[in-house]
Amino acid sequence: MRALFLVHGHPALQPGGTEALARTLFRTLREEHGVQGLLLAAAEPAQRGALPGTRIQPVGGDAADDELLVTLGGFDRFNLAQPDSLGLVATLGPLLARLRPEVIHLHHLLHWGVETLDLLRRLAPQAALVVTLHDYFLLCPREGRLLTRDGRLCHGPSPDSCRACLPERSAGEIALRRAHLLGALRGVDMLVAPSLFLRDRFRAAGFDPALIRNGIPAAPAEPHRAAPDGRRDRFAVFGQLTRAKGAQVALGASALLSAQGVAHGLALHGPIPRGDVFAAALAGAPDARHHGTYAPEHLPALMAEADWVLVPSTWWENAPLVILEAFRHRRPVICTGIGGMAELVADGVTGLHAPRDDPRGWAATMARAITEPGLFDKLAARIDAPRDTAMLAAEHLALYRALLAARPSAAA
Amino acid sequence: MAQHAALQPAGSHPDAAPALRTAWMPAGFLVVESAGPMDGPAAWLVGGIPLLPPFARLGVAGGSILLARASAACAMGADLVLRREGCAPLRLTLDAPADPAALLRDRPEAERLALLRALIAAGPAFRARSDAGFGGLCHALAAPLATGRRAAAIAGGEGLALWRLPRSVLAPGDWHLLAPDAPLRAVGAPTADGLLLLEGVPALLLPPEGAPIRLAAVAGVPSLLALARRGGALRAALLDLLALRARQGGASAALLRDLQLLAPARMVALDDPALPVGGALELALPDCEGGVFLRGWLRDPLGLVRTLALRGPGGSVPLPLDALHRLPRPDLAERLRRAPQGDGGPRPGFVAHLAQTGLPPGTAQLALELRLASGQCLTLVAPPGLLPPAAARDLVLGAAEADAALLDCIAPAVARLHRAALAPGTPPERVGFGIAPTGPPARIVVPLWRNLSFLRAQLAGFARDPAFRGAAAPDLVYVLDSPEQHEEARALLGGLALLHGLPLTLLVHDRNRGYASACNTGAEGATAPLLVFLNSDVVPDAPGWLGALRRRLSRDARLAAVGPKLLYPDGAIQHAGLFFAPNAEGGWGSNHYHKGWPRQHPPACRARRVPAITGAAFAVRRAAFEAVGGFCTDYVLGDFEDSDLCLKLHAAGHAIAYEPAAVLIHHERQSIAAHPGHAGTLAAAYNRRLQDARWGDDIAGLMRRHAPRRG
Repeated sequence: MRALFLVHGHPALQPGGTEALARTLFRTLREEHGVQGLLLAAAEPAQRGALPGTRIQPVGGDAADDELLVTLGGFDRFNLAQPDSLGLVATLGPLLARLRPEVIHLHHLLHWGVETLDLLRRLAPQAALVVTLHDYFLLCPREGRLLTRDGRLCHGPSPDSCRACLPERSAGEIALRRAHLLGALRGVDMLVAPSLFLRDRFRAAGFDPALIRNGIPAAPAEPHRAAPDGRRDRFAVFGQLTRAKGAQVALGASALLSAQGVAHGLALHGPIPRGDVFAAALAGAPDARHHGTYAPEHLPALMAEADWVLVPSTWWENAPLVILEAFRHRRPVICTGIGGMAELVADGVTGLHAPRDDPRGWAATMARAITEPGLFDKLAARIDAPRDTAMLAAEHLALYRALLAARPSAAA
Repeated sequence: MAQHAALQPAGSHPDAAPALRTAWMPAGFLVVESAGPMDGPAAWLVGGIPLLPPFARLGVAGGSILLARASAACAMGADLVLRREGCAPLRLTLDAPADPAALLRDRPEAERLALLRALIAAGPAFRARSDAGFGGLCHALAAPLATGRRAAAIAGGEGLALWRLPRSVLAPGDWHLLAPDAPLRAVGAPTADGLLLLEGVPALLLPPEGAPIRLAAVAGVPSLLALARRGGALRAALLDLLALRARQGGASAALLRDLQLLAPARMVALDDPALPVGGALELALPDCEGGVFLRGWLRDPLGLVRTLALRGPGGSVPLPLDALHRLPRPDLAERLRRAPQGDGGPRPGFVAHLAQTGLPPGTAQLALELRLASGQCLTLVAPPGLLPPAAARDLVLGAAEADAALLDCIAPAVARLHRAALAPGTPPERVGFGIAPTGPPARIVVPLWRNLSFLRAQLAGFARDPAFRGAAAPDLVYVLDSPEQHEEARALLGGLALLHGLPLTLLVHDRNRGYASACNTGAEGATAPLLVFLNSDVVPDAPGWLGALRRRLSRDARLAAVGPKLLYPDGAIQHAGLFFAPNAEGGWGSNHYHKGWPRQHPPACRARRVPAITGAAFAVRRAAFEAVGGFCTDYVLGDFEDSDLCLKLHAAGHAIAYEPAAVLIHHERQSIAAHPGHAGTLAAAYNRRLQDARWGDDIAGLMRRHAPRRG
């Protein structure tokens, strides 16, 4: 089988769960199932300038020659439009002619744009065209988060709610965006949803994605931290420490616990956004530490220091990989009890749910985690090893084969 | 070139009178001097062949002179014979040529001047205005006489220069310009100040009296433009002289125009509230057909102004006070209230249209003279009004609030300027992307003006529709009516054509010509039996719309045109057919059926005949479209052309239908609302009036037939 993967970024250039997942899937298909192909990762000009005369270039480092970067600029994030039509045609046209992929799997429309979808459909009419929905970008013009301008959860885009959220855009612009994007999705053979929650959102928009949950590479679990006093009071947050990821909620909860004299530690791992909001919250939480960014290979060692993993996101999330990482190391997860997080973490079974965007509620939940005797061990014992990439690859392969079999004149 | 025949006695008849004394052949002429009068019938022969008229006989002291055009036989050694009734023939042998400047050199100066003027008087017989030789002969005669009198140019260049002559030479009568190798030219008399506008130097200027004046070579003087920029009396005199020349045609109209535009007179308004008279001439726009449109205001509470005159270069024309249509000017109210003698009343503003001013071509800047009963004159100077016709048209349309009563004054000026704006120019530039389909079943024509932001979605909508692929794909023609966006449109459409693999053609107008012209341009040369006009802000709702329109037409041969269901972006109905309804002014307005209702509103889901359809999405059989002459271009700015076309199709016996199975989204009026000639102007009123005049009766009949179906 020949497959072409298009990803919105490369892990070598930017950390990101979905970028890493897409590459892992691609490599697993290649190594375990003999799928030949090419992975094209979009690079912003600030990351990699284009070489003279071509928009492709090697990733560099240890990347194999079946992974290339494509420099694409001028992206319109509202309309998910890539204006460089000539660049797309000049890059993808020859690559498609050379590779003749039977399967094309697009992992995000960011940087590639809806134009890429139209172009792939036209130039490779026989290929099975698959798009994984890693978030709600296609439904929500506000960075795909389904979060309102004032930070409330959006229960479903509608012309009126979107206008209230985007007063700088006309109703016509919002309607056109939706019609234009969803029109392109109709040319896709199968959408893939990593969570039931996300699938339901796209079902409401008139699509029926296949459910393929995320998976991570199998690896041994780090043993639990020795806790001679029996207190399980070490908490860790992994990932972008933004407001939507709930960094301030975790810091606020930690500050409350400190004020109440509850001994604990909060370790934050990941990049912080620009601005002083995070720094102020961190300064107000004496038992919290920011440890900076981390490389994926250091994650086990950081997990070893933690009892609980916190996922305090204020948006719905989809299928956060950090929950799978926590489960791999048998750390119970305390998460916001909504959306894709609540779907992965069973409250009182494999972790605890806490109220959204509510530092007091989080402080109470964390205090319970520390003080309730036997809770940690009870929850940790119920955690199963997460789905691994072999399962992920096998399910994708099965999907590809089913799609090819269903095509009228599918290539073998 | 000039030849000189030597003096030869005539030989054997010394007693015969008059004797021939000299024969000259300067500059293609034969000049014979005799010792007596040569009146009475006579025949001249050279080499035995008669000379042909015209002849000029000029009396001189002691004889006379004959002038004739040299014939082919006039060569050195040829025999010249004069035969007269009752006399022996006189003979002379033509000799070698000589310098024409020596002609008659032995005669007194006064006599030579008289001869020169007599020769010039005989000029018309010799077609002197087109004969460089005759002019040369005159110049040769005059040159030795121009000894003391000289004049220098004060401005100009080799083409045209302004001269100032000494007052001593000024005299009434005919003035002539003499140059060595140019025809004799009569020139107008200098002004009272001795100013004279002349081209072609170096030359001699022959006044009606006295010796010729030598015009020095033009050097070291400012250009005419530089002179005009200095303003003052010299500028005014120069423009008056140019106006005089412009009336006679030629390039002076262009120079007159350029000097007014490049060295305009400063705008003069009377806006001192302390004075009893105030006013301004804000616009004075030539209408391209000899008339002018005026806009301004006038405050005259004491009634001092008795008459008005419109002044341009070269003169003024009276402007009757009642030619001004007066109108309110709320924008001036505060300023006018400060005038102690009184404001301008409820209607201080005015607009006026003079159908024919009689002002010379090239007139670009005008002034309004307020002539008072006392004989005094106040002048209001307008800014230069010569604009591109479309810009002038839009100013006229915007010159007054939407007051239909003013249309009488505004409509004729708009009609003329609109005609000029649409005058043929450079043919549209054609840019092709991809290989256009051969024998397409339909042509899609998309006129573009300013807003290109929906093209990405529109073309994607085409590309995702199987009807736009394969052998039965329509051809796509985009017509850009805002040529300043040429590069942007070319890059965008080129990229999209490549991205989607859709061949298309971009046509670029040489200037903004309006919606109807753009549509007609796009339809030119079509071979498809069906034309589909789509606004650029119309985006398909789903594939299949084109097929639905085509099927409808193929099912019903009586239909010439069919329109789809158009939705607002939020899904409400924007168009389900168009109908006419009486408006408040007693004419006809138009509206769309079911506007604002939900898309599934049952009456809007029924295919049916309608009075008309919108041009935003208009499918029409090409044969019917061409037979009625396409879209009418008389309407101003993208309005009414669609209903006009429908009315023409009805008049030709066709029917028009609405097809709800074809659905597109219309982001309505995203473009035309921004047009300076449309927003808040009389354009819509003008168009409505035009349509009512042409089609009022037809509309009434049409609506009687469709009345029960409304709603």
